[in-house]
Amino acid sequence: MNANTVIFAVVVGLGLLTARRTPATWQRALPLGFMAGVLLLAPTFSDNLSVLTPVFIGALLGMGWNIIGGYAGYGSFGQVAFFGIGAYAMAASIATTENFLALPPVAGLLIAAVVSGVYALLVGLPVLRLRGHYFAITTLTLAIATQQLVKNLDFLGGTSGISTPIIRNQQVLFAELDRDTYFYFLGFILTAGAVFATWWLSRSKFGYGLQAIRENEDAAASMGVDTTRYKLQAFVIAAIITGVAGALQAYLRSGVSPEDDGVFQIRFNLLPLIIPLIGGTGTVWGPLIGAFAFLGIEHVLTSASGSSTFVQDWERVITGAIIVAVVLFLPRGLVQLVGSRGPRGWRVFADNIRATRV
Amino acid sequence: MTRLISDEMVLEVTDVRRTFGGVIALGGVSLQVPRGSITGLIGPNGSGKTTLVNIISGMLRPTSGTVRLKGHDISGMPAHKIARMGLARTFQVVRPFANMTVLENVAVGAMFGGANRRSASEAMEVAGAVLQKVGLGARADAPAEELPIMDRKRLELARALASKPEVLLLDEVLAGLRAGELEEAIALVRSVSETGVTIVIIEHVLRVIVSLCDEVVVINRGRKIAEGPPAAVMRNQAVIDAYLGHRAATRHSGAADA
Repeated sequence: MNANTVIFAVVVGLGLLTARRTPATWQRALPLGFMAGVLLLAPTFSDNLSVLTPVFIGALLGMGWNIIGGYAGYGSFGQVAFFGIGAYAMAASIATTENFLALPPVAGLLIAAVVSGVYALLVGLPVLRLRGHYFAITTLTLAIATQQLVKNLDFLGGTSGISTPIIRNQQVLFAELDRDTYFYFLGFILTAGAVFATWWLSRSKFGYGLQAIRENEDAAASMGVDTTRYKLQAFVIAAIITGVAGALQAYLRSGVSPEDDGVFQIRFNLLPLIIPLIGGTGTVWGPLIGAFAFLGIEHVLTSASGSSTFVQDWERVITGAIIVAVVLFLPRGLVQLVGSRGPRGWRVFADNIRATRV
Repeated sequence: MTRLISDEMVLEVTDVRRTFGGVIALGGVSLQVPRGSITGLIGPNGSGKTTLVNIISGMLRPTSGTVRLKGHDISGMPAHKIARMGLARTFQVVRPFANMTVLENVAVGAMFGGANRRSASEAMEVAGAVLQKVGLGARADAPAEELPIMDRKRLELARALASKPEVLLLDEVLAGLRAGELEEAIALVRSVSETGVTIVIIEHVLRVIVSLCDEVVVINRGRKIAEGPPAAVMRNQAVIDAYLGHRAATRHSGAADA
């Protein structure tokens, strides 16, 4: 048990309290305040802050997917395309080598957001005409095609990718931050922004329109929802959040590679799906909770594998079993633990077995 | 309160045809609906009633022919634009937005449909009032998936009403109701009509048609076979042969005359 494990557990717990369905606002604001406090003070007591920054990247991936998959019901299997595009846009913007822009990181983040959004706008127009499985398969091929495309563009470094300067200590306003603290707070701010955007969306007309599309697209259209426009907007917003996550990844890792272990790796295509699934799709807090829960479990297993060969050998199997268990018993994610919505536990497990019996 | 039926044809369907591959679902149907009226649309299963509603509401494009709403040609226009021009519909197979609350379901109608679109918070207020009207006020915060089938039908109607439509298409929204519920539902539809809403209602329960409608249009195999006041239509030989059967015709034309 190390300090980071405690941080993971506390954030998941406070996140669930924040996600409660209760009429009293202060009952949710209080745990939210504590959660923000814990995350802001984490640099003072974390045993290794560099473990936590990827959690923010995971949370951003989850929140990006959540807009199009969770709220609009269009489950994308190709978010890594936008993650990679965002990462490449960032790398090309901040790289100081010849042919690149050598811009400040803030400009890089903005460019990454814009480029990911425009890319989503272009591919979204045809892809969003498809529904259900057809949409899922097409987004999956989009991910593969995007990786191959980038790999073959010489001005983006071809197969060798782009290297960007290694970040050490940074002067931010009046404070000198070490590398880990700098990236931690950058991740925190971007994640907080995405949470706020999702919260706003969940209460807005736009958010209700997306949910109506998810529940029944034909009925939504007949009630006046401009389904084509809303789906496209959701797809673009999702891509922007995902692209910003990619930008952070490129910045943190000092560059991008188009190979299968680079920014297009399968992990960054699965995290956007797994994280909301574990936390709760179509909810404001689900992806944040899911990121800390899932990556927290990975962290605990990785820590334990140092002292236990069993965990070392079975780490992936245990992770997989946990994902399966959540899907079977809490089909709407961990937030079901604190809300009454929908069946859960053995009942939904038994219902599933009955429903799929041949 | 009496209903005012004007001479203005708020909905005009002219020679609408629709084919699915080689199957002719509608073979040239025309109908005219005066503002403020209640028009019944009846016919055997598979006669094309729902296809016609789908075309009017923009879910389907007509193969040929025109649909005019308030004088504007809306044939082939996307469904959401038609909804914003003041037309609302219900679906025969009710599928509420299951993972949203009853209030949110209705609020979506108030937010997006009709001419006066509202912000999310205004829509919630409108939705609350509509739920009271259809008798679902107590269930406002329940998830829609928890509603029993009868309440789902009320919800379906409430969603359509929340947009404050000028024209309302009801596709078998009263099917399956028990006798007492049916009376209540008829009164509800009539009260909606009394606020000036033009209603086109598809229904198999002839008692509903006879007691509610000013005009009835009968279609069979994609073609209109009769139209007119309910009592006259019930006596029409073609309607009796195609749809009613002799016993039902005797019973309902008698009731309408009385």
